[in-house]
Amino acid sequence: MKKLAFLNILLLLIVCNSCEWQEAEERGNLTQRGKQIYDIWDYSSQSILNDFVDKAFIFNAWYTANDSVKRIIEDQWFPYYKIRNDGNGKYGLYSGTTLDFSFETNLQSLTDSSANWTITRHNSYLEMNTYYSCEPIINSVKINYTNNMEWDIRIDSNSNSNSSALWHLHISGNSVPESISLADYELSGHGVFAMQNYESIGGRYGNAPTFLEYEIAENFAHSPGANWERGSVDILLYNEKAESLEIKGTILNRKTLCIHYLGIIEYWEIGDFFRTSLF
Amino acid sequence: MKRLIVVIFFCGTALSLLSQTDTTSWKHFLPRHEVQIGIGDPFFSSVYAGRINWGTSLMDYDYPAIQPNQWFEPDTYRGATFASGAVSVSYMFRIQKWLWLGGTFSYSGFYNEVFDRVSNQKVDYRDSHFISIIPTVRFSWLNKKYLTLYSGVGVGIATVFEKTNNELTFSPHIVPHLTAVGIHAGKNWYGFFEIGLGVKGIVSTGFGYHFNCKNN
Repeated sequence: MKKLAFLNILLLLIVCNSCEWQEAEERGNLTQRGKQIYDIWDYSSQSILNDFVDKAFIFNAWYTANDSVKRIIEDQWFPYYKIRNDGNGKYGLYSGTTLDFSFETNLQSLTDSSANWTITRHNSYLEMNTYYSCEPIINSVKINYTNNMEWDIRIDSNSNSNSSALWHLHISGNSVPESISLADYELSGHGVFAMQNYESIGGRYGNAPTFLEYEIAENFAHSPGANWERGSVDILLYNEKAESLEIKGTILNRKTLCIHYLGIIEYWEIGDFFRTSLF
Repeated sequence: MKRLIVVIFFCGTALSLLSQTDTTSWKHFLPRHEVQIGIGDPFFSSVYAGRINWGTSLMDYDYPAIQPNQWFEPDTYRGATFASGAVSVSYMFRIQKWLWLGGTFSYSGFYNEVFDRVSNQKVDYRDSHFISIIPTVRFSWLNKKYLTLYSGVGVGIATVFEKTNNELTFSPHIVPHLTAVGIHAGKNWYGFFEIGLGVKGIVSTGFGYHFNCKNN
């Protein structure tokens, strides 16, 4: 009888102890993965615009200014750099004695007919500033003035670790801005980002590259003080194992992003990267 | 590992010698052997099994949640995790009135299902089994016929087996158990309650059986 009582107590204890140890994770947003991939596209694209295209316009402002204005532009936009003329229309942005960026102007300003600039980021800068481990490695961007305040932006796969792009930038108005962050502009085009398949645990690059191919379906429009006003992009993510995902991201207004992923549509509030929330 | 084997060997030798030669009076009314089964909270083993939430790190927001090599894997979320509790079986032998040697085997299990985020269908599971064996020393500091108060300590080995649809992994560990305060109450059959830290849980309870008490 005593044994039975003990066994009963033990069974009761086991049952009581076989309890829920961790609550289930929240199911979360169904388009979460699509949103993450859109964010990486957005971040990578804006990095190119900020690090290369915007720098080119700022440098063009310096390049075309007279000496007194040059100094003001230097102090405002390149306070931590030294600008050096390396000859033949090539200029360098030096941080101390380290060359971070170079501009090959072909002795033309960005608004000269058929102006063709090459902006190169050097490794010292890249190593310090690569933020997301999967971000494509972009070293060099070509900017070519076509006409009527329009520029072609080219990323060549040979010099950019298999990433390539052809964008068209149209700036509203008749004057070239000092910085595109201060301008109304529209961006269209297409491209492929070769994503760095870096595993943070173990610190090695994976063997199967992943490619993010995209086409801007509706021009992305920018206004000062906002990332995007509107625009739409179709993204195809694929790898060498023939696995693929399709995402459509549409900016409805400054605050709302619509993600279409696996047949599901969700609306996200635009905030910082990876901090957006679902309506 | 060699040291552990040597210690166990000497302890075993000492036990057999002492059991043959010691004829002091406490043996006539205090039990020499005991076997007990208990259950406790699985907090300690959950740490080793990676089954505890330490809160949200700021890092979670600074980096993408997934890497490119994971983009094509199912987008999943974890269902509720259920735990078995820390079930333990111990054997102890009394060398001196106040000194016991023995060992504890313990098991803790954690089980959850994994669901596809979009379809909400079960696509995987994750079962973690924590198993340990610990040689233990116990010091009983109140020794009455039907009541014993004690403390104890032990260090042993454990392994965590983890099974999912696609893989079975295991990881070995060195694990301790400290019993801060324990109480036994009963004659041959007894109940116990312990507070401590280790594989048996922070709080554990159960029952056991004393045998080889000469005055039974």
